[in-house]
Amino acid sequence: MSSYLYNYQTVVTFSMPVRQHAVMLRCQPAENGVQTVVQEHVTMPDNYQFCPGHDAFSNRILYGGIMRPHSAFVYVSTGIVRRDLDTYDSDCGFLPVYSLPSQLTGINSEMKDFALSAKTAGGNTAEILCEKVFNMMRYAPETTTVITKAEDVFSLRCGVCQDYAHLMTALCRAAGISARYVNGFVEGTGQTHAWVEVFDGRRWLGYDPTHNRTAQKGYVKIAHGRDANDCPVNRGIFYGNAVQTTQISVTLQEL
Amino acid sequence: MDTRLNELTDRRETVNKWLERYGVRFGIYKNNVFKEQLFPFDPVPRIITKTDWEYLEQGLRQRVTALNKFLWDIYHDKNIIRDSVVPEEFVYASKGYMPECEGVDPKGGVYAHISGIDLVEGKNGQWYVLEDNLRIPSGASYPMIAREITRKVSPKTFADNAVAENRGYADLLRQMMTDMTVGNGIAVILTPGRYNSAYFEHSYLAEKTGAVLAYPGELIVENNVVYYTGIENKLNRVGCIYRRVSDEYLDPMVFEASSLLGIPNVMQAYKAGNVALINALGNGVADDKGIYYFVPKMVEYYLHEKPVLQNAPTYLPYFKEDYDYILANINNLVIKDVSEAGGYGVVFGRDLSEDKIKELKNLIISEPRRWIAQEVIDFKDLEILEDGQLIERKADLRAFVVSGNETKVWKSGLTRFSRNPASFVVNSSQGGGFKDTWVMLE
Amino acid sequence: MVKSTIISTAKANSLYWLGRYEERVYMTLHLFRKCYDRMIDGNPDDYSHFRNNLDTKGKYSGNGEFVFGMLYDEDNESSVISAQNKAMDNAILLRDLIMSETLSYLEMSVSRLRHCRESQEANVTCLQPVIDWSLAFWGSAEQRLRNHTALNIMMTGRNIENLDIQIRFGYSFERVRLAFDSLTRYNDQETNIFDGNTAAIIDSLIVKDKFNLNDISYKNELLTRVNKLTLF
Repeated sequence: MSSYLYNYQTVVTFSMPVRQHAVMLRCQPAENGVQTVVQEHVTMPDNYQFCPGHDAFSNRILYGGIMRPHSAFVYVSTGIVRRDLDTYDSDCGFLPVYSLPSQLTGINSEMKDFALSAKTAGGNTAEILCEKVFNMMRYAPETTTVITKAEDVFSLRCGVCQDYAHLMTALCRAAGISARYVNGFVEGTGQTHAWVEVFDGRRWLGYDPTHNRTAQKGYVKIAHGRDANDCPVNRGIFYGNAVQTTQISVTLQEL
Repeated sequence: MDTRLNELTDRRETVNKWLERYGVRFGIYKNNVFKEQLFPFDPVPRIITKTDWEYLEQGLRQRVTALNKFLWDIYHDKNIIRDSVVPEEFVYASKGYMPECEGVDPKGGVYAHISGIDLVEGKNGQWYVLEDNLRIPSGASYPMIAREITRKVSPKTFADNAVAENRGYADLLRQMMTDMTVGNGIAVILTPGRYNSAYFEHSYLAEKTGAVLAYPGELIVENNVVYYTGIENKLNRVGCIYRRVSDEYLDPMVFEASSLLGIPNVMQAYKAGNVALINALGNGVADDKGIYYFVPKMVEYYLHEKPVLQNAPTYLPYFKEDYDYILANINNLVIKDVSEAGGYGVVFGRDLSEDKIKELKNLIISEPRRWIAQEVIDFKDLEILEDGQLIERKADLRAFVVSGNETKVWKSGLTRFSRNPASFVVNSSQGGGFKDTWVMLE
Repeated sequence: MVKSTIISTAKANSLYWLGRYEERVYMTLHLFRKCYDRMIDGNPDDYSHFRNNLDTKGKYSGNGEFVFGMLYDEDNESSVISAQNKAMDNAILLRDLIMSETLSYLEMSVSRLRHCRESQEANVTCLQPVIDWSLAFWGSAEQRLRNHTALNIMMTGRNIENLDIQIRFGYSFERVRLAFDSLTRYNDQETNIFDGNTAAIIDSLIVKDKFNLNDISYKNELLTRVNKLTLF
């Protein structure tokens, strides 16, 4: 059992006022068999109107927005979350969906062969694929975008945590393992992180292909989905001819 | 041709003048430039006898009822999958399946409020369903306004022939929207805007039903309630949205993030039961070309009845037996790409060169789930008037079924014909024209 | 079915500009015909006032070029066809409010103008239907626009355009004052779309002892204020 203090802060600024700014946030830790939220606060200015809810994949969401013209959008999500390392998330909902390719986790025949060779190698296929992805990839920011597909990552062989996670997810599915994309916080200070959960027949197990390790100690999950499109931390749309600048900072500290 | 139609065909030019007067157009994009053109109207109506209509009406109501039950089942209990009537991957791999719709309860269990069922009549007099359109079927406005005009121009024709009234389509829509409306809100028709190919229809149906024609950006969501926004910060609560914006653009918070055509957070208002969406979200899973194969089975499964309407004989390469048949008979079949729409992904085996056949076979072998094959139906051609001559052309019929508290079949439909004698494709986006569809009362 | 009682910002904007452009079609044709009549057998002095005010940028040289240009030149913002197209562009967005019947008069006018342009029709009587349909349009719109605010916004546009043209063409004090008074009738408690301050200034400018359209700075100030009277 370990407890973590998390602090997630986003500052969005606009070069000129925008209006009808609608937002959907996934900025609170998931609550499942593994994680318990002990304390939480989401701080945002009074003039934001927000409702809490859940999305299709049972992730927690906050959605709403500001209609009147404004030039900044700031919020902080902070609290304490407890992670129980002896229990697992065993939710079986949507398994068929996590077994099929999605928009960003498509496969081609080369990838299929790659995935099947990992399977026939014996041992824990997910673990093998995690290692293979880690070994074949080079961590290189700005070589990919938020909409880069797993097929392209497979041929580029570089990217950031989202790309590692997409590639591993796609390969697991091609090998017949249900897998989902996960985002959340990792211990230390920086940005949000992405990893993978695979279903072993009874429960979901976390793997982090960016670091080639299981995603357990030092990880706090926010949300999951078929791919990154299903669970962005922050999605917004507005009317106005402004340039948007977003600054995110995350701190996760074990207590 | 029936001599009772002489007056009408003689006054074709007058009819065309009136169509122009009312701006009966549809938009097309050619080389990325938007153009509006008149939808060519042929004055010779398609005539459906009373007996044929009774058969069609019964079959259409049955089919749409089963499709609505299927949609409810897919987004709730999934019994049809559990009972192995429809294989799981046909549902979950369908582009039209939306996890976001799981557990959402549209009022009265109605998903397809407006269904456009495309049929053809074979030379043997047998009708076949070619396609179910359960998302945003368009085209009803054209026969409505054509009737309005032809009755004006040629009253004698309608005095001499007992034709069922078709201008009540707006009443069907209005009643259905009234049935579905939530929270005493207003009804709106949401259009992507005037550069949409069916914009004429959006604006015409708004006028005729009394709904507000709403443009992107005019609808907002606050605390899970949808509002129409007006000048001086006035708001009207919206209870029903007949949206002509497709699922993937409807809520940028959940679907296509860059969409400016949608209503941010409308999905949450819809989930909360605070607004009706006409048609419901997620219907694409039931009008997928792959799912089409299973519709007659749905009728038996949900209604315990024999399907009244027939599908065109269809084969799924997914099933071993069909797979072998398709590869052996590809030259005689129509092959359809399940992932395409609009008449672009349809090829006739007999039109392909040997190399192309080989290519297509390989595609079918590598991705069997992506294709369906159908026997080529020997259509009964319809007469059209061209340069004063009657000539025969391929035509289909889109029948409209409106489901609110009750399911009703509109006593008319959109008959589209191909102007190109060699073409079997009758889509308006591919240069076809339309006719009025007469349902005879006696 | 519950009916909406409100008008969106975009539709209000379209109603206003529909009113302005349709009035521009009518007034341009009206003034053009006066000019055309004098051009038949008159000296340039008899019609230069009209001609210069119609063709403000001096785009056309000969009288023949002027006639075709003012009627059918789509590159000339002041031509009849341009105004008619713009009226149509706004009206097409409003079918649910103004109804197909009303819209059909504009459809016919647009198609008539295109037809006359193609057949190079220089005789102004060929455009008489455009004038007739314009009046039919107003009659139909007034009867069918059940939303009081929507009607007022459209009529505000129409009357502002009328006032603007009267000022440009140097109409008399009595006519301009009357045009302004007609306009103010459409700003009531339900449709509060005037900028109150601007309305007061215009009111104080159109008085007998200040009125002088030969004074360019006076005329320009009046035109600027009139065009800033509403938020559209």
